[in-house]
Amino acid sequence: MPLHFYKIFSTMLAAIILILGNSALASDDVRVLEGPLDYIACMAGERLNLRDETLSKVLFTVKRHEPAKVVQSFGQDQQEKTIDGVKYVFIKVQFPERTEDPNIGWVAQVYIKTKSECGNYTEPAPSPVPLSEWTFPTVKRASQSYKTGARRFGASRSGGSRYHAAADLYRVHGEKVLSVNTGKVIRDRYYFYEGTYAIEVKHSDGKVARYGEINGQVAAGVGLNKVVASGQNIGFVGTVTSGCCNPMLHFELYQGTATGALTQGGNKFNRRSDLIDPTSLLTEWEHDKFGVSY
Amino acid sequence: MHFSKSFVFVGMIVVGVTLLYLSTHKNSVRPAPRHSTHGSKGNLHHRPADLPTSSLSKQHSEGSGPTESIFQNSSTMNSSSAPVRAPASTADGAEIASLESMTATLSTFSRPEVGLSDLTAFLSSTTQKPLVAKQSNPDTGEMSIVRTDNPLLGTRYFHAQYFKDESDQTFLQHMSFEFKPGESAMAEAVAAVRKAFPSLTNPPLVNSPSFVKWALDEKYIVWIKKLEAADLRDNPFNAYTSNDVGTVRVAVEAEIH
Ligand SMILES: [Zn+2]
Repeated sequence: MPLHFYKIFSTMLAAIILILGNSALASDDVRVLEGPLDYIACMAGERLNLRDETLSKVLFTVKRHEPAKVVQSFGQDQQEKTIDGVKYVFIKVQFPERTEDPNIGWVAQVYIKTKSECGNYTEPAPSPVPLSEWTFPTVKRASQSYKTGARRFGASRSGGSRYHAAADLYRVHGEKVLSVNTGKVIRDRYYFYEGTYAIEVKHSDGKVARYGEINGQVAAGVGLNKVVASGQNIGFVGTVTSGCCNPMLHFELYQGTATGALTQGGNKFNRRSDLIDPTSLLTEWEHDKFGVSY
Repeated sequence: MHFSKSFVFVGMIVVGVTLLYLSTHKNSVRPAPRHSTHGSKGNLHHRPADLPTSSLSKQHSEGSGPTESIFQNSSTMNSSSAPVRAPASTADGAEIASLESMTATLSTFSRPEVGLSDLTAFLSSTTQKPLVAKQSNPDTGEMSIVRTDNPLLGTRYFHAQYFKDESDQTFLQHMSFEFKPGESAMAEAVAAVRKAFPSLTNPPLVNSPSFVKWALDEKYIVWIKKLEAADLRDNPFNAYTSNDVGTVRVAVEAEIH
């Protein structure tokens, strides 16, 4: 059927839908989760089988609450099998912390849930931690000054229509990024910019830091609501894909007096109203740590 | 009226894309619908028709504990399993149609007049089984991640991130999906973007064999990237195998740097 037919027909149908009050679009078929997308093995027992593609061979067993990723593979990611008279739906799952090769296999779907959906999982509550010493967030000095060029806070962007909201600390791809003080991870890695990620930490004096343009690799012991120490490895230097710049930590700092997303409109930084220029603090921390500063 | 415009616009897009999708998928092999990984009320609509209620009850009765053999080594079970279709190396017509549908989704739902609920309604109406994970904290507020459990053939890992600003207004920060690897996957994705974003009349800001980027407007960029092993391996949301190298990600993203 020619495409123009669909265009005409879809316009007409859209009008009908509107007349009917959008009932055709209304749907309660949206699964809403309160919490992050952290899948785990969730069952009453201690161990769960992970099977091969035929479902007849057990590759290994996983422990209760072991982190999992649900696989989408462009093809069929679901099978059914009857075991002891019960028909199970099996899905393809990866257990990324496993060193077995492969660490992907088939697991009964009902036992893969997010942490918030898993009835027998309790997230440990983080304990408050006192403020510690401030420290520079990279292991060595930035390879170029963060006070000049496009790297500096307030540098012009998009032909002057906006300003840079961070100090860019040029380093080496994959090198450790360090927490500038004690704090709590309030947002774990999310898509940030051109294939890089960001993590948000509320430090113990109330300031909020966004460690941006890191790569997606998880640092040991770091996750949502986890407490981090001053100088603790919380991520790894990433590289934006466009080749605009060296691998870096894009470091943003907020006073912590406002609430809401760190990125937003309302000013030329496109950032929350309590954004602060981190340059003088970085200079101080740099001098304390390395004995020199830019 | 703002709402009415949004309404008409989304309605038209939903129906148009749905029809296009149906027209290109009616003769194609579809994978069995994926099912939710939990047993919420809403998802019971999608359980396999041949799965008896008694079985479902047994599966979901965590208190009584699941059957033995699902948890212990038992390699002698006698049942047949559905064959697994290996992904083809080159996209077919249905997969190209999926690529175009998903790219049109990025274009439509990155517009300021449409929001998160419009997106999930659309994804639901095209049987993609959306889920929304809302994660909030007292400091940086709410982030909602939208994913789908039943992506269109040839695509996967749809992912959208919405945040709430200081005025409690929700806005889109990132929306993307992956397209299957193939020799011409990048070119097909570029063609799909040009088709779905007619306003991209300027040449790309970056145009390399593995990365193409345009400025959509002052606030958003559009990019296509051929993913390398490290991109895939370190992704906190998605699984990874070495076969995935060359997968193409198409994204709309806030100009944040
Ligand atoms: Zn920067």
